[in-house]
Amino acid sequence: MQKKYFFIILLIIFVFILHQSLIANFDWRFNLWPVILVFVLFAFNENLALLWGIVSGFLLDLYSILPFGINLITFFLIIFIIYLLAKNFVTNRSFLSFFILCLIAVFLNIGFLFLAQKLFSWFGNLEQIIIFNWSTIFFQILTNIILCIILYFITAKFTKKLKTDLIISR
Amino acid sequence: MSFLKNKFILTTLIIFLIIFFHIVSILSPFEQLIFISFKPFQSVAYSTSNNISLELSEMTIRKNFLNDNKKLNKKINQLEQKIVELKLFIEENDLLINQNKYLKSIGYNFINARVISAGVENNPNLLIINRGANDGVKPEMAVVVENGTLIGKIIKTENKISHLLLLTDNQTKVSASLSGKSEISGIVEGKNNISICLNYILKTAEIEKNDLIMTSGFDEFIPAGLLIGEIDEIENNENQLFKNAQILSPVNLKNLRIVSIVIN
Repeated sequence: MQKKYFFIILLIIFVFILHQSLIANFDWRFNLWPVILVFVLFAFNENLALLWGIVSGFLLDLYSILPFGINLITFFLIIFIIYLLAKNFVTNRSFLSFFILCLIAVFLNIGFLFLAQKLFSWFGNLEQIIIFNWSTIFFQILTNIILCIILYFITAKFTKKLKTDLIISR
Repeated sequence: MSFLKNKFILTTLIIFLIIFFHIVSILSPFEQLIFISFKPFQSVAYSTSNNISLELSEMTIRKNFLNDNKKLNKKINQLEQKIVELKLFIEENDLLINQNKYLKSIGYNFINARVISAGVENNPNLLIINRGANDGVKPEMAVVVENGTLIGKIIKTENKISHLLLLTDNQTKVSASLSGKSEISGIVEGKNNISICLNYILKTAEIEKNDLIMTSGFDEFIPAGLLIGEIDEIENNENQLFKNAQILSPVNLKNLRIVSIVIN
């Protein structure tokens, strides 16, 4: 059991390094963590999603310019809200459900980060370092949607964790 | 402690503990360890990413170069075309200046015209020029080029255009005489639609190769003194009443662009 979690943490570290160093090097910055978290929650369970959220949030906070804990809290809130939605409202395990949850997670992530930045720029002397404009938001949504599609269909093809139905799974 | 069983409350607690430990620097050694241990992996990943990015940007640059090259080639072609046009324009301008200077010096009234096309009929000696009756052009008027060399005459005019028949055409007939020896005269005609001949020269007339042939002024609209060409070859057949002479025009009749119509 401990070995399993150790490997999961290694995987999270690997994804973190890949995400931060490899993907973030391109001209357009984007954050793919909301979709990754929703995917873990959707395809596995909330325990694993919380582990992913804590580890990735902690690592992101270590390297983040925002005050420590913003990413941790954001990821926790995203997982919590998405978990509630998946349990009570978007209960179907089709692609559409996954897509909707991913979109909500992306908007939550943007919203929380925006609020955090505003909050800390009001009360502290923090510069508004994260750029929030239509193009960055659009690019953020677009990259997350692409990852959402890739993750869903690859998982549906190779495992039985997700249904291949697009709108409603039977 | 039952509330700890709720994973979300437990996670919240963990998160606040992490934040608290971070603030009070308890986590500092662990964080340092993470920074140190991640460094090599991050630098490898970052340099890989840089290489990929560089490769991509080089590809983009190469693509841009290709596009720029295409654009520049297109521009060069356009400029070359423009240069050719300008050279043509300069050449035509020089031609026109010489032509005008000469015609003015000998006191002729003239109008310049541009050859706009070959005749629509299947006759290589028929050309269309951009001056017509509205400009005062009339049939039978002389058409000359640089230094007043006669090349043909107008055979038909429309309001805006005229038809020019070159001297090489079999149907062209212009009275001519030898330069300096106006008593020796004849009729200049086209021969086989490719060359010019001076026909009806009296047998007694003394003509030689390289003698210049001018217009004699007997035609209604063609003034005297316009150069036609020089004698190239003389045909003196004893069985015929007259001598004939092949005339070499100094003008290349195949490449006419600007001409002048003598209107007085």
